[in-house]
Amino acid sequence: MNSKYGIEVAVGSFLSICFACVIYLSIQLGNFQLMNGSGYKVNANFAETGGLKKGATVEIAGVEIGRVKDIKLDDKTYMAIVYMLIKDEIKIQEDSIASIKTKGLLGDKYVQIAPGGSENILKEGENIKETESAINLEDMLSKYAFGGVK
Amino acid sequence: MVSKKSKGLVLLAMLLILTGNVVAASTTPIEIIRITTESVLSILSDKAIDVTARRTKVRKTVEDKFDFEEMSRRTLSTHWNRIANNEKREFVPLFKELLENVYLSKLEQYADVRVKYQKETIEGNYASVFTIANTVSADVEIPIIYKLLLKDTKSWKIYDVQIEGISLVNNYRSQFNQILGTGNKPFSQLLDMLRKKNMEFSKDSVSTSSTYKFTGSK
Repeated sequence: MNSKYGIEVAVGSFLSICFACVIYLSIQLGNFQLMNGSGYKVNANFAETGGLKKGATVEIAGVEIGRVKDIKLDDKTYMAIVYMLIKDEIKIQEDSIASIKTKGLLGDKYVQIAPGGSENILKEGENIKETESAINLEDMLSKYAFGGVK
Repeated sequence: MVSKKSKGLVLLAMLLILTGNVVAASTTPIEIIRITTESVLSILSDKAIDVTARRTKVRKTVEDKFDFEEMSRRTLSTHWNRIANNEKREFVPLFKELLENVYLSKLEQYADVRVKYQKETIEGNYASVFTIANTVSADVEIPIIYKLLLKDTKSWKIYDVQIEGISLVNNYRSQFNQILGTGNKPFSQLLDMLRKKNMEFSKDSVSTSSTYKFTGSK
C-alpha cells in the first residue's frame, strides 16, 4: 500500500514538471506575455506588412524596445494597422520612421524604428506617420529581372 | 465719377487677388503633384533645348514644390538639434544640390514615363499622394508616394518621396547616421563629404549653381 502511494507521488510530480515545461516552452516560443506588459501603445499604417506577426519585435538600432501587439486591416483604406507596445522609458519622436524589415535574407519580419529629431514625442495611442512597407523581394526580382508581362 | 470708377477698379483688383489666393490655397496635394509632374515630363521630352537649359528648367519647376529645410531636418534627425545654426545654413543648400545632382540625371532616363495618379490621403497637415510611374520602354510599374506637409506657407510642400516603398529621407537618415556616428564626429566632416560629392557631379556633367536661401531654423 505504502509503495503504491510512493509511485503515485512520483508519477504525479513527474507529470507536474512536464506540464510546467510545456507551459514554459509555449510562453517562450509563442512570445506570449502572461500579463499585458507595461509600456505605451503606438500604431502605424503600412501598405504591406509582408507577413509580420503578432509578437514580432520592435527595434531601434537592433535593440528591442517593444513588441507588435496586434495587426488589423483598415476596412476603408485597406492598409494594415500595426499596434505596438513600446517600453515606457523609450521616447519616439513624431518624425520617426517605422519600417518592416527582415532578419537576414529569409528570417522573421520585425519593425525597425529610425528615430527622428522632432521635439514632439508620441503619446499613448498616437500614430507613427512615416512608414516604409515590407519589401517583397520576389516581386522586385521578377519586375526588374524579367520585366512586366505585355 | 472718376473716384467711383477707381473704387470699382480697386474692388475688382481685390476680388481678383482674393479669388487668386483661394485657388492657390485650395490646390490639393494630388493636383500639385500632377501639375508639377506633367510640366517636368513635357520639359524632359522637349528635345529642342540642350541638357543645361533643360536641367535649369526642371530645377526651377520643382524647386518651390519641395521643403528642403524640412527634408534636411528629417534626414539629420537627432543631429539637427545639436548642430549650430551656421552649420544648418551650410547643410541645406548642399543637401539640396546633392538631391538635384542625383535625381536630375536619373530623371532624364525616364522621359518616356507615363504616370497614373491614384489617390491622396490627407490627415491634418500631412498628405500622401500615391502615383504609379510606368516606363514605356521597360514596361515596369514603379509605385511612387509623395509625402507633403502644409506648413505656415499655406501651400503643400513635399518633404519625402517613397519609391518602391523606400523612403528618401530614411535612406539618407541612415547614411548620415553612419557618417556622423553617435555624435562624436564633427559635423564639418559630413559637409566636406557633401561638397566633394557635388564637385564630382559637376565635373561629370553640367550643373548650374543652387539658388536656395536658408530662411532660419525651426
